[in-house]
Amino acid sequence: MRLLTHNYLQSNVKGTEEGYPLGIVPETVEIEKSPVDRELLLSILPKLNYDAVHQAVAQLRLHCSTLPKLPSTLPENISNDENLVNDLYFVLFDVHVKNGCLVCPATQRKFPIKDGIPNMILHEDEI
Amino acid sequence: MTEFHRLPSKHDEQHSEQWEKLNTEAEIRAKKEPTAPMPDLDHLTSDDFQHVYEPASDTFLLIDAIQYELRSGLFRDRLEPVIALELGCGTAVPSVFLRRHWQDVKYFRPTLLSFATDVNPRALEVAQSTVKIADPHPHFFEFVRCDLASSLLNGLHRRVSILLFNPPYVSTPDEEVGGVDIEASWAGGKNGRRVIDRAISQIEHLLEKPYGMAYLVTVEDNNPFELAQRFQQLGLKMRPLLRRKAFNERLTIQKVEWI
Repeated sequence: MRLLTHNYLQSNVKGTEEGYPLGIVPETVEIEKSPVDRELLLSILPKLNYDAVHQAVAQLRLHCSTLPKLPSTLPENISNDENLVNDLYFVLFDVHVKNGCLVCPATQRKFPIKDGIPNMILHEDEI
Repeated sequence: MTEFHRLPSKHDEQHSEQWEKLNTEAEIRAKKEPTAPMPDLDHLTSDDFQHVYEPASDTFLLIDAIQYELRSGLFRDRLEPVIALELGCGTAVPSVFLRRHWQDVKYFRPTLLSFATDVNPRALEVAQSTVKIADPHPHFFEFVRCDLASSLLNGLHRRVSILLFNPPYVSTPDEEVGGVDIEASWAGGKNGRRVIDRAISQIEHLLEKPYGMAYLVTVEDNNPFELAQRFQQLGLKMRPLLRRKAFNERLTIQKVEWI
């Protein structure tokens, strides 16, 4: 699971008003380096929730200290800041949470991540 | 393609005739379309296919439809990245096919970000292994185990440009719907519509405006004419794109887009 995917995921447990953003408790994190695609990053940035990216990276840094520290708010002229572009591309596209779990912020329900695939299936009494 | 200018009604003979004409056109298009090459699945075993739907006529018609759309210039010259989402992906052959041929031939196309969901964990395992072997680099293909797009509805709201769905369309007793093994790939409940009907509002919620489109497999039991009306009420147009007779059913790839 890449952090871009995490950014789009929500918990739907019954009674949850705001099942977003999901907490991350990582067990295995793998880095697969890919060439930085600047255009892709700049066009995807407006389509994601930056606070959720920031929170996810802060949680992953506890486990994986090599991850870059991100600013708590996104500067306006990001396209001039090459280091930040590279860091954001890296955390969104190259970092893979292979095992661990996601945690619903409202109910603390845990969703396991196995081999990079989060399991968001709910039990009948949770729907 | 023949167009409707008002809501088609089941009891309106004229529109029923028009629908049949659209079906005939889709049959002709399917006849003319060269067979799309299947991604290699040699790494999968017969045991895998005890639990995961093995690509069959419906899968083949869906990849033919993707090939037809790519050849017709789908999303050519667009700059924004394209998000594709496959619901109930099984082996994810349609998504893998789309990715393999995305940068084909003469058109420029932007980066394709692919997502796929399934309730069946074995299907996702198989799909992931297929992506590793058959997906071109650099690949972006992410899997989520969930029911239809339920966990991605807010995140991908109006962001999906290409939605692929080969639903469980077989008419079965309703009790057979809701499994998480191979039966989930076909058991569709009454008229094979139980899962399709739940997907209608999700498709409407996810599709990007105005260019997003969905490709959906149906058979005659599903009453596609009535399904088209349901989509029309949500501002979406559903029309047969490719159509082919297979064994005992008439498979159709329905294309859904904003009116």
